Amino acid sequence: MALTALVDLSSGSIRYSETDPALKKRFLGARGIGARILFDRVGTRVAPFDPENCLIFTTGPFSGTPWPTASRYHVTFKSPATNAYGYANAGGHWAPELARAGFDALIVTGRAASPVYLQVTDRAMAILAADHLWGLTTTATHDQLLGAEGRRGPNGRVLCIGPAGEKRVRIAAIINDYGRAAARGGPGAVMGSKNLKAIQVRASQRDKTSTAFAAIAREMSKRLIDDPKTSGLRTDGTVVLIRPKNMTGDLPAKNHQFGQVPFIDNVDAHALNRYRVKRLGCAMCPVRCSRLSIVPDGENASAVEGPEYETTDALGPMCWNCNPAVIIRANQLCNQYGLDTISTGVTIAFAMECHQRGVLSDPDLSLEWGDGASIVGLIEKIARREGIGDVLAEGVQRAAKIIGHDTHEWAMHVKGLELPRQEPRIAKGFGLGHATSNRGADHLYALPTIDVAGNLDTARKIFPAEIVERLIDPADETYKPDLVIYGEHYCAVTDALGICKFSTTEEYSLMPDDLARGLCARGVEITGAGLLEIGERIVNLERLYNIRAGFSRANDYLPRRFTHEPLVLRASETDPATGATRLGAPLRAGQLLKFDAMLDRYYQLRGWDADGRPTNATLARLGLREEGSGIVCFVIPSEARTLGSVE
Amino acid sequence: MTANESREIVVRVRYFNVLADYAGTKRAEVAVPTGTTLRAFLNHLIEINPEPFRRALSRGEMLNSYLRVFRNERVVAPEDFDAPLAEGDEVMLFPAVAGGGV
Repeated sequence: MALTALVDLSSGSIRYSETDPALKKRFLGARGIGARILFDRVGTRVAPFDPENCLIFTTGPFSGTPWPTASRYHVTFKSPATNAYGYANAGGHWAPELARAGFDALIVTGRAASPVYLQVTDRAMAILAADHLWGLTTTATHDQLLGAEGRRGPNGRVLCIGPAGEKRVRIAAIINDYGRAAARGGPGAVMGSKNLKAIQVRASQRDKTSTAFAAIAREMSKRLIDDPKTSGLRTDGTVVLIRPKNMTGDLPAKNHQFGQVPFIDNVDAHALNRYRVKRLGCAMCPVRCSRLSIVPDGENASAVEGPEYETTDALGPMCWNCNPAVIIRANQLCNQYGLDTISTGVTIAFAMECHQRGVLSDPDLSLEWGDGASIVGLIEKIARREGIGDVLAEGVQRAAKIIGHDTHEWAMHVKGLELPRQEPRIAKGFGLGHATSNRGADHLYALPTIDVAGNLDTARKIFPAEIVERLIDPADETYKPDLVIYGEHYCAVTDALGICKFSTTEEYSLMPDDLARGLCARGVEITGAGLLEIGERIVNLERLYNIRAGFSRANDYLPRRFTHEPLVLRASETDPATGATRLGAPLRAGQLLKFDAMLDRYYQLRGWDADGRPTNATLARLGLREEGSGIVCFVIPSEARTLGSVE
Repeated sequence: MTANESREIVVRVRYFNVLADYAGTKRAEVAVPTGTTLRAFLNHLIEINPEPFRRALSRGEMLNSYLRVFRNERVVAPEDFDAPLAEGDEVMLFPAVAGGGV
């Protein structure tokens, strides 16, 4: 039986208990268990940087097993970005190591009097002094803890924060295995507030996998490799998306003033592959979407695991930066300092738009669109909280309040979390998903890919035949709520199992029934439908957490730009003189997102009221009456109210 | 029906996303000679649509890797592009983009 450890850094105490089987039955693992523990332990009176906030590291039932892509850990906390529900999730090799050490969950609370790190071994752990690590970059911290042999040596696996987390930069990430990031929502800042520099895990146990389970895992792994839909990810990683996104207008640029760039040949997969030294992959992953990139010389000389798509857009087109070497160097700096590359890129783009409109300047940096020195310089200033970096370190929502003027119009966030790299006026399902995500703007909360990927076969498996034709059309908003809700449930299941969405909701190579087969072989009797119900329970619990924190429908809106500033799509052409790609004539009238109707249908399908609160009936159906009691009055007339036409 | 007409088939086409913008329509019916393969049909669509449509469909002789082609709602496997189309077939062309990074 795996353990839950409760580490109180204030008192130095560590308590171990067997993880409650009832908790696993209701919430499965990783994300689900993390949500329930946070709901219990961190209430509305606890501020994100209070010692009472928790960092809850969790693994799932597939962690440490040969199940394909079972590499991911989850960390749940009250977010300093949103002041509400927060979590982050990362691949690599740290999660399997924690699972093999015998832990389902590691709850860290309190605040150490001086810097410490945790050393985890088989079913035990210790709090050790980390004064010698404080102030180090994430790479230097890994090197110190792992020794000369690094990641291939006997000293296990490490996650840590960099200087940004130590300074409570609200967009600070946790970095594990040198180059993987649990980044969104500021977990690095919470870790820094606890004076916790790192967690090193060294396990000697191995998972006792049954022959039947191993056979199913092999079958699923083969299916992932054989699925033609994963071929692009396997050859080029996520940057394979850059070129088609530019063509369709789904490549956010210049802080979402545009959805395309004229310099696509400089930043597409082909351009980035010139810097790729080798492919990399997480534990148990047959897809291996990651890469090691090296800029060998010059002012941008650097080496980093990455960049993947989100980072490339955030530090490239979003800042109108056409230099791939700057993207790679900026990625490296973010990793070294421990910063979320998405939030950092969006924050820099925000600063550049503030400068464009005459309300922000810096004594050292031009802040001009595309200026590499400004991108690199702002990363340094944010990480160190120097000059305007101290303001930008608060994230765009708070920075806009501090700077004033109309800057909130250019702050691309939902609930205080910076937008990931989709264009809501084109990828309309993603737009809705960014808005409804309970951790703030997030492409991975629903990952509604079915329409934009043209995944007709999957749409037919999941949705009623009569809605598929309109649902599959990316331009048709009518059934995007249906798409988002299914995605939210399946993503929650994926996160709860500790596996990667590149095996599930990105391409739908594996379906819920496939995951249920694996669980049954490990003694957990469940069906695919049962898994999706757990996913729905998790989403509703997360929603309850935010309602308890005071959130409502008003917090489910995108920045005004997407509903009021039309996006013009332009033709992609070949320049006859140079052979390069260029943008040509406008193709259609500017696009806007018709948002309210989507949100109404989303709430109605969910069984929530018009303000986005789960109804009594919904909570009863999901077995969440206990969690819901006392938060809001759930007996509301809207249970019988028509929220708009449902076709 | 004349002899010429009897040697033609009509294929329905659905354009998605930016392809609909280039083609100026989401749906079309296109007449081609009997025996036209899917590959030849796509080349015909390139000829009858504006130049940017070609860029969206292909690079040189190769179809873009992100182009998803359906025939009668089934994804077309690489080896099936040289099969002849039939009267009433529906071809769907989809520039496929998916989510982002994890």
